[in-house]
Amino acid sequence: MDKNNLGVPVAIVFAGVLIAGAVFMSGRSAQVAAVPAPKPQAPVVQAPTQTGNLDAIVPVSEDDHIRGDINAPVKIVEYSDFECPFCKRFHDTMNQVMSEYGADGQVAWVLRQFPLEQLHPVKARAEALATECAADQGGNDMFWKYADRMFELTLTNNRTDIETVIPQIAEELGLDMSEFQQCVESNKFASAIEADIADAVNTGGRGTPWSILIGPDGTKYPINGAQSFESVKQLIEIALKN
Amino acid sequence: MAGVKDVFRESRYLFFAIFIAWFVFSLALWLPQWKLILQVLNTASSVDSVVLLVSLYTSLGSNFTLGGALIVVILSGLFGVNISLTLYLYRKQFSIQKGVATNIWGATLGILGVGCAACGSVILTSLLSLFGGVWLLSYLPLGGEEFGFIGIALLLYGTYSLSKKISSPMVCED
Repeated sequence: MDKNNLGVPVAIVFAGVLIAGAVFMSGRSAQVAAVPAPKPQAPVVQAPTQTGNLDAIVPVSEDDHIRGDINAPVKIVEYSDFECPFCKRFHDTMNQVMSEYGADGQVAWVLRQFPLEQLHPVKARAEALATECAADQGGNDMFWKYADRMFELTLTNNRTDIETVIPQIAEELGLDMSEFQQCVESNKFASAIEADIADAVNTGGRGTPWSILIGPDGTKYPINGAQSFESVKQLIEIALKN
Repeated sequence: MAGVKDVFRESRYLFFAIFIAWFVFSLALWLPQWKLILQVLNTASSVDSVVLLVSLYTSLGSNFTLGGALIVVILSGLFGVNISLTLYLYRKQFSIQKGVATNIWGATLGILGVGCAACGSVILTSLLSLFGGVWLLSYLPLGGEEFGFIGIALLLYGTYSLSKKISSPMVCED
């Protein structure tokens, strides 16, 4: 006699609802782990609207940290966290991209801050702040030198000894240490970092690295995670053809 | 696992298992990029779109931890095997019992654990974000990949029970 077993239909229905719901929700901008609690000492920044709309991206400007020619036909805006292991991998990928496409001005790489404080409390933000303070002293080039070195030294996943590494990099790069320390302690770039975070969330960023490739015609391509060089290269070629 | 050998003696079931495994594997790699894929399909040529889809397979090395990558591969393979075994059972008109339900639970839990670690478990963070509970993942030692391991264990058990059923003689039961 066959047993009346509800396990299979229940499992199928449950799995279907679960997966359909998740796929649907993954296309919406829901509350994400990346959005940190507002810092009491930071100036009020307009709360992210979480529209997941790529067109909501803050336009690239001279105020951004840019590697390459700002007038390049293709711009890749990356939102990054210095404690994220995949951002570390993607940083190498993007350096490879710039070696191939940056020299002849085809691609510009814009780096914006997206510290994931629920996953990397304290350290990710401290590292973001340090890179901004480096830029404050030494300009765009110094930002990139500091960022490159930070990604070389970070142990990721909140394991970096920031008390040692942050000043170490500043010294290596010849920054004025007292000015650097003052900048870090003053938290003067807190609102700029909050603005970058809001930008990431508004455009649909749910984790890091989160990138948007902007083509010559303004078409925007979302790049979720640390995609390989081959994928990014193919995307650049597609964008350049349009 | 005599039942598995019996089934895969018929090459069509082997090919079906491979196809399903490839499908699930592709889904795991493409799902986190579905918005990008849609955008490219709308703007690029067919050839360029296919080249991009193929290139996304390389994200297994860049966008997953080693554990995550292994989970994706093993889960995909096991899912293919299980679906093929289940199809065999259907065709031989065996009744569906708890082995199949276990497989479905196994596949579901496994899928929960899949996702690029950079963007979080695709399914799990989407679900948890509904309740503002993404922070829970940070308390799990493997950030959600535990579900992948549980899924593998359930699928292995499901494979074993299906295989046993296939190789058992047909008897009437009270």
